[in-house]
Amino acid sequence: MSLALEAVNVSKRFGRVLALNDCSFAVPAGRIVGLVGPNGAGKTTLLHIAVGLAEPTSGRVHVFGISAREDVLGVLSRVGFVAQERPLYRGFTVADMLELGRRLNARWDFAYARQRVANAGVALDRKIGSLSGGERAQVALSLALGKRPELLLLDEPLGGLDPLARRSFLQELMSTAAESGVTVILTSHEIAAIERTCDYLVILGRGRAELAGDIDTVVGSHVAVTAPSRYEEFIRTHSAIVDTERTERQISALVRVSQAVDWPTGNGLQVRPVNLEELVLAYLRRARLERTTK
Amino acid sequence: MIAFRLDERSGVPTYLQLIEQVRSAVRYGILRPGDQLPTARDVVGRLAINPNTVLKAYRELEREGVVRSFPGRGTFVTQEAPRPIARSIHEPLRRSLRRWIADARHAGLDRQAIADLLGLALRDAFEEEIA
Amino acid sequence: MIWLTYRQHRWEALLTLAVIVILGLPNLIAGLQAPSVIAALGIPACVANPNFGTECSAAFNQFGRQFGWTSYFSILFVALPALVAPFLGAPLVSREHEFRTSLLVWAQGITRTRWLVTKIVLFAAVLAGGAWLLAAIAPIAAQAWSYRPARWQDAFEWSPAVIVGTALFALALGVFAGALTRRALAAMLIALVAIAVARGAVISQLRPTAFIPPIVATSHVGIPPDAWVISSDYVDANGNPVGIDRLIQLNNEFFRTGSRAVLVSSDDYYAQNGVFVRVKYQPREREGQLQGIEFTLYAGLAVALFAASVWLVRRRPA
Repeated sequence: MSLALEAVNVSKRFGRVLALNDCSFAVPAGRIVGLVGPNGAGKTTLLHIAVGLAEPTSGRVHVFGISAREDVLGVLSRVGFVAQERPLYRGFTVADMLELGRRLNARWDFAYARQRVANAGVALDRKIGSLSGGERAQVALSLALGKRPELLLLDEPLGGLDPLARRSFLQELMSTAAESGVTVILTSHEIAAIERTCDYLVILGRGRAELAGDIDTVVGSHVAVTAPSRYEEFIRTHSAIVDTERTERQISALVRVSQAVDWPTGNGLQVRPVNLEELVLAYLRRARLERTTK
Repeated sequence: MIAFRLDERSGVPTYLQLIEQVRSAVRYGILRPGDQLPTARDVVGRLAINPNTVLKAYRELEREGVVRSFPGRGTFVTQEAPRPIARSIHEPLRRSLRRWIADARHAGLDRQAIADLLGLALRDAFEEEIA
Repeated sequence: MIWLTYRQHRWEALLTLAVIVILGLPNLIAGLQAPSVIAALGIPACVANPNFGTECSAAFNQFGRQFGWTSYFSILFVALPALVAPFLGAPLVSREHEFRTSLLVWAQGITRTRWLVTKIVLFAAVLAGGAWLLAAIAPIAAQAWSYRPARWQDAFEWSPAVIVGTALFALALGVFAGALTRRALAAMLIALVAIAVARGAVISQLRPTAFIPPIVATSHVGIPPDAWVISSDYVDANGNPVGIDRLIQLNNEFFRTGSRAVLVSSDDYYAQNGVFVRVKYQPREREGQLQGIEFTLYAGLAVALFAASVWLVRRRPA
C-alpha cells in the first residue's frame, strides 16, 4: 500500500502556541480523506507544511515519500492545493487564471482545465471578481487539477458555499476522483458531507491525530454503551473510553473496542452502533476537555 | 436503468442503501437480467458520493451473484439474480395492505402512527422468529 | 513568471509611464522654449547687474507668469521616490498576503525565491528605465524652473545618478516594508516615512559633509565662484564660534573707523581682532565623485533590502 501523505512527528510552533504537537498519521493513496478537527487544531498548518507554504518546527510531512523541505518543486508538481477561501486574482479573467497555471507549472493540461471550467458553466472571459462563490470554487478546483495532480489538498472547500453550489462542487470533485483516481484530502466541519464523500478519516485535536483510518472500520470499531454505574469498571477493562456522560446512577459512553466484547446485555446495559457524527463529536469533545484541563 | 436516491437521515450506510435499492429493483422486476447498472462515475457524479462506496456496493452485489462486472463494458444484472416476485403474489398482498391502511386511517391514525404500527408489527414478527 | 508579472502589474507600469509623460512632456516643452524667452526678455543682462531697474523687474515678472507653473512639476521630479516606495514597492508582497493570493501562487510549480526575484528584477528594470528617462528630461525642463541657470549643487538632485538611485532604493524600501508587515497600508506608511527620513539624511548630512569632507577655508577670498558653499561662520583662534553680539560690534567698528580704506575686506579687520571666518565648501570638481558615491550608497542599500525581502519571503510561513 503506497502512502500519499505521511506526517511523522510533526510539530509547529507559532510564538507561544503549539499548532501541531508531535502529530503523526498516514494517508494511503487513492483515498478521499476527511480531515476534521476544531478551529485551531492545526489542519491548515498541516496542509501548508505538506506543500511547503510553512516549515515544521520539527518532524516531516512526506508527500509520496518526498518532503517539501527537501524538494518543494518535486512536491508541488504532484500536489494540487486550494487554500481556504480559495484565493484567486480578482482582476484576472478565468482564462488568465488558467494561463497562470500553464505558465507556472512544468506539467499542465490546458485542455483538461478548460474543459472542467466549461463543464461548470463558467465562461472563460469572465472576471474573477464577478464570479459567485460556487463558480470561484470550481475555477480554483480546475486550476489545481490542471497540473494533473496525484494528490489534491482542499482547505475548507465547502466554506461559504450555498447548498446547491456545495452539491455541484462535490459532484465535480467525486467525478474527478472516480475518473482519475486522485487522492483527495479535504478539511471540513460538515460531517454529513464527509460521510458522503470520504472513505478515510483523520481527526486532529490538540495538534495531534486523535484518530486516523478507514471510515467504515473506524465507525465499526466504536459503540455507544449505556449502563448502570456499576458497569463502569467492566466497560473500562473491556474497551477504551473516548467520551462519557454520567448521571448518579447511569453511565453513557462512546467506546472503542479492539476485539469482540461479550457485553452482559439485559441487565440494564445497552450497546448500539454509532454513526460518524457521534464518533467525531466524541473525539472533539475529548480533545477540548483535555485541553481545558491541561 | 435505475436512478439511486439517498436518505441522508436514515443512518443506514450509503453503500447499504445502494445495495438495497438494487435488490429491491430486482425483486420487483424494475431491473431484469441483462440490464445495465449505472457506471460508478455516473452514480458518483449524480449523488456526489465517494467512488469507493459505489464500487463497494457493486462488489457486494457481485459477490451475492446479483450483478456481474465486465471490465470496460459495465455492470449487468446476471441471469442468476433472484427472480422477481410474481405480480400474482405481490399485487394481492399490496391490495390487502391498502385496505388495512384505509381502516387505520378511518380509526384516526395518521401517516406516522401507521408507519410506527407497521414497524412494531414487523419487529414482533421477526424477533419472535429469532427467539 | 514574466507573463504573470506583466499581467498583474501592467496598469501600474502604464500609470508610472503616464505620470512621467504627463509630468514631463509639458515641462519639457516649456524647458525648450525658456532659453529663447530668457534671451528675448534680456534677462542675462539683468542677472549680471545687481542694481537692475524696473525694466528688469518687469522681465522677471513676465518670465514668472509664463513659466511659474513649472515649479510644481519640479517638485514632482524630485518627489518620485516618495511615490515609488509606497505605491509601487510596498504593495508588491503585502497585497499578495492581504488577498491570500500568496497561498495560490506559491503552491504552483515555482519557488518563492524565483517568484520574488523575477518580480523585483522586472520592476527594477522598468523603473530604472523610467527614472533614467526622467533624468534625461530634467536638465531641459529645469531651464524653465528659474531664469537663473541652475547651480550644480541644485542640479545634483535631478542627475541620473540620484534619480535612478533613489528610485531603486525607494522600490527596495517599499518591497521590504511590505514583506515585513504583510499589510499594504502599514507598509505604505512605513515606506513613505522611511524614504523621507533617508532622503532628508542624505541631502542635509551625508551629501554635503559625510561622503567627502568639505574643504575648510579661512577666507572668502580664493573660493571658486562655482563652489558649493555649505556653511560659513566666524570662530575665534581656538575654533570656537563667535557670538552674534561680538560680530555686530566688530562690524560697526569696521565701518565707523573707516578701516575700509586701509584693509581689503571686513574679514581682514575681523582677523586682526581675533575673529576668523570659516567657510566649508565642495568644489565643483567633486560633482562626479559625489554622485558616484551617492548612487553606490542607494544601489547598495537597494540590493541589501531586496536580499532581505527575499530572505523574509523564503523564511516566513505563507
